[in-house]
Amino acid sequence: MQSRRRRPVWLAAVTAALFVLSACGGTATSQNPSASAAGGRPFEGQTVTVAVGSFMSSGVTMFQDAWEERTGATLEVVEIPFGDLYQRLFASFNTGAGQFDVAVYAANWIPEFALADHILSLEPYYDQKENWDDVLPKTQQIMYVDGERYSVPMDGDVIIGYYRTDALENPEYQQRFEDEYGYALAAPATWAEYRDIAEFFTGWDWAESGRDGYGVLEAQGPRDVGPFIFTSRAAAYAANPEVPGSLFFDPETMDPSVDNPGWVQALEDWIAIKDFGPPEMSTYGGGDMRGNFVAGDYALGIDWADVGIIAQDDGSSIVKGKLGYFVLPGSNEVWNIESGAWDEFDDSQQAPYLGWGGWHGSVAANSDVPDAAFDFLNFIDSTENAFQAVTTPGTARNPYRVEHFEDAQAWEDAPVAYQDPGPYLEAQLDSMDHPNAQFDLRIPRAGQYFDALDQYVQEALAGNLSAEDALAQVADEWDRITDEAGRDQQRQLYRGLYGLDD
Amino acid sequence: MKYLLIAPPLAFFFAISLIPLVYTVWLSLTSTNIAGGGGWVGFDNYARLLADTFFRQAYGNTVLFVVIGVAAQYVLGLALALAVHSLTRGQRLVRLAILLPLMIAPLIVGFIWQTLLDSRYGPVNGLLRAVGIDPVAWLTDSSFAFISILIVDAWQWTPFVFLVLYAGLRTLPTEPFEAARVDGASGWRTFADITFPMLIPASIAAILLRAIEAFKLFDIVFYITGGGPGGATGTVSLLGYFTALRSGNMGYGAAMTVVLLLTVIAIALTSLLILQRALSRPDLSGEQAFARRQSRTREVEHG
Repeated sequence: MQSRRRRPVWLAAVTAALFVLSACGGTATSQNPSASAAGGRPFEGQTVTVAVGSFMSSGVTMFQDAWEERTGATLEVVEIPFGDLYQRLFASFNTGAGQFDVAVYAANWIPEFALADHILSLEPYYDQKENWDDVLPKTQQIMYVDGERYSVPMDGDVIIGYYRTDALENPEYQQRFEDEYGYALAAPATWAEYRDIAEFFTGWDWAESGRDGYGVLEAQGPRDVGPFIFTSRAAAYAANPEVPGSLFFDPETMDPSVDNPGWVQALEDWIAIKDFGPPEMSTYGGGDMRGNFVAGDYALGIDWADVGIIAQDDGSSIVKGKLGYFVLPGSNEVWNIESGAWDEFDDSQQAPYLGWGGWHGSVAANSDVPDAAFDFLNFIDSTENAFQAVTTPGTARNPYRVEHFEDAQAWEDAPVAYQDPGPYLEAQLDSMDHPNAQFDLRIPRAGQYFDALDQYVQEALAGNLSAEDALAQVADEWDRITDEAGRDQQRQLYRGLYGLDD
Repeated sequence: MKYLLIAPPLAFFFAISLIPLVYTVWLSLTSTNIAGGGGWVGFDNYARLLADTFFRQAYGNTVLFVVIGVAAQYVLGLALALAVHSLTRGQRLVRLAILLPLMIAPLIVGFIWQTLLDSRYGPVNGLLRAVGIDPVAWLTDSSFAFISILIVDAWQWTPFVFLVLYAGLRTLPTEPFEAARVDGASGWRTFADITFPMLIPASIAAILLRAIEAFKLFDIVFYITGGGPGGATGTVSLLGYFTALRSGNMGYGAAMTVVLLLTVIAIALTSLLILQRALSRPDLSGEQAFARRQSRTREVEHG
């Protein structure tokens, strides 16, 4: 009897104790230029390990067999969940655990990795890279740190707008819209127009699908691409062309700009747009947005170039041939941080946002096989392979070379069989070439800045905080992060992004 | 010699448990960032936690998930265990059916329920529409999102409570129940006076284990709501993960997990104390009922 009574206590005690205990729970020297082009199998017996974010992996693995055949080397691809990529790369760089030779990651992190000497300067290799000049200037620009290139580009990222042509180009709807709003229905030039169009197409069966359609679909969910989408809206109100470098911070003081009236207006707009999307929009990440947009009845949407590619898949898309594209809307009023007032403009001031910056590949500083590592990167960025990648669905590689935009017919003939690719390519090129195009925040701790932004913006979207209060809290957090990282260092790097002299 | 024999497992134990624990506590006293840098900050991270609205909300949510969720799972698990125990045929099949959700990976559970609860296309709202009830914003309204997580967690974990209680029921001695039958006790009296008291050790074990797990609630929330809308379903585990591994603020994230750990320790110790006291009381261990039955038997034997 005694032992029967004791056993549960001991079992529970051991269980609790186990829980308590478990709850916590050779530098490279050679930098020889690319060798595979020289013929033979120059890297026979070598193994190159590539760390790549999971949903981009096919953009790498599709060239694995060809490169191995050509060089005699072995390629090991380690797919890392997208959300863990940053910390896994840092853990590897800092500790040497799970060492990678090549990292494929967001261009935004290049300065942080380069300044910490985690990745190699590729200048010795670039001397012999033959297709460098074809890379778009904005993409080239984000590869430099202190005048040296640290990556090989694989992707060009800019956020653009999409609309359904069967909605906005329908003469009957155009007439009704003009009667109701007093101006012609067309791709929106301002965020106010964007809102009107979204409102107009919400709650009725404009697509004749047998169900009510919605005006808009955007990724507003937490912990996903929301901060990029929101920033792409804020840029229109807060990236004053007269004050370069003022979108995120005051470049003189590193005081956050995020709580200025421009950002507040953008957040108020974003909260208001919820009424014209499906209820689940507040939970949608980028993947959800893309899948739903091409399968449903949404008049407007915002995304990188991915929606365009996914829309060409007859198996999952009902919008192939029904898509229009536009450079993201602007505003006639833009906040000026120097005067502390709104600047009025006759024309809508657009500020296309190069959010995320695109996937780039770098060679780890502690790689034992840097030559082979660069050779692989160079191979998947060859003119032919790069075009194949950007025209293949599912690679997450978007156009980034001049030739990607030159031959629309090639897109129709490519695996993606893009229907009417001209306007799609034009919207991207116009965005990337725009004189007021805005780079992403490319300073150390950018992830922390954006996480703070995401947290408080989510509170505002949920109605727990006003737009103004939420962004005031973000500004406090950004100040704290800046001080923690070192204000002078952050200021210097931030100014460097915009080419501002000290 | 005996110390030499236990040295290897002890060393293993230290390596995999105590060292990470000590490291986590040390980390929580620093401002370590995943990108490097950071130094000793003492208890600053803990002081910051007190003023952190996101942490306070996540902590409150976690406690509510544990209290409401585990209570609901206990009641449901007990009801199921009693019902299945009373079956005379088909027990194995029913048992297997009940245990199925337990065998599914939490992320798959998240995917299934996200689909079921979709306000436009989900079958749950489809059923509601069919009976004339307005669709519910299961995942996008703060209150309903919280309830949705409770429902999903209960769906997956009630089978565990059922399993523990059902095993407990099967090991109960038969004498007290025979005594109750001789006494002419009703079903309710038998349950209240014998079954339930005698199940208390198993109940506390089930509740304790579930509470410990529930405090670490992560996967389902991560997939279904990501902690939203506006932090309404965020938990400490989720916030700690995002803080330490997404934002790279390792020190602050570690402080969150240490607070969670201390909370679990407090609850575990309290539960063990209650269990110990319960087991020392004859009226809660079935001994009293058994003694009554023996006394009555003696009375009958002596005339």
